[in-house]
Amino acid sequence: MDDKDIIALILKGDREKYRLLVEKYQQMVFRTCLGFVHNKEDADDLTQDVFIRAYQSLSGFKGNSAFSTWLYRIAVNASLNRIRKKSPLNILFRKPGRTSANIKEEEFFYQLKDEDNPEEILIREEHIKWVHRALESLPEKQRTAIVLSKYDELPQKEIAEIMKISEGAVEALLQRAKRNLRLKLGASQKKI
Amino acid sequence: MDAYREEKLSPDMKALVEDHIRSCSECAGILRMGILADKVIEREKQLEPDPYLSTRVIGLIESSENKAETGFITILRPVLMTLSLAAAVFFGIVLGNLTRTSGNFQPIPVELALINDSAMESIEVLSIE
Repeated sequence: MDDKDIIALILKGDREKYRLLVEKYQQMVFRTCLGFVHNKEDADDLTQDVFIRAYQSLSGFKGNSAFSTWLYRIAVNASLNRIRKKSPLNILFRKPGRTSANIKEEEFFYQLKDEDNPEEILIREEHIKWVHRALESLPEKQRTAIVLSKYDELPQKEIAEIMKISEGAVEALLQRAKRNLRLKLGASQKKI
Repeated sequence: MDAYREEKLSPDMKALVEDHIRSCSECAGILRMGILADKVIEREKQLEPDPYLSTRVIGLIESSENKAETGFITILRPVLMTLSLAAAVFFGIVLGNLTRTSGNFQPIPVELALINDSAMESIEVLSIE
């Protein structure tokens, strides 16, 4: 049973079939969201929102593109909306544990690294923050292109379809994003 | 430098870049930061979504659909209450009027209706006597 058959059944009222689509695409949507928010908790929340939004607008899916492309668009839009909402006021009042450089990230970091040297751990933690800050400083289109390319490992053709732009434009966005990342990371390195 | 990291260079070009990196600390720093960024992204990609995600999504969809149904009843309830109260008052008045006209009504006798109040003796006259 392909995606279109499953969607037809869901639209006829078989709500439980939506579980099949969630299970098939959850990793893909989660990665995209994580590429924007860099935090497991936020990425889980966003992934959930994306699948609920997709269910609510499922009747609007015409099948002109692949279901995954349609879902990627929802994931990108939801992620961009989430990061736009992070105004300075929201940052000031948000709960601890939900920032991009937070406990979750440290836990994640500790799980992956075996070094016992606290200084080494602190330096590497700082490096992770540099990378996140550099990614967060990119303009929205460059950021979207780099997330879809690096996190989802999508070919430029698919990125172009998701972003509704030409492949040449994707190539240009990726080049500019990489150059900006180089500059930002270079500047961070020079500070030490 | 990106092409070198992504292993897209020919062996000759790769060797040239490696030679340059050995002698240029700035380019070596850029390469190091690029590798660091790749590592951070690779580590993040190892994270897994919530294993109960599909159950949570289906549960939320069900509860939102149930809420939409009960929402209609919630709006309808005060309207029905008001209508039933108005109907109770209306039928009360109608029933009350029916019992009044059913035979208990006694008309005032003509003698009482024609009493001339001004001709009646005042209480002051009685007290003087």
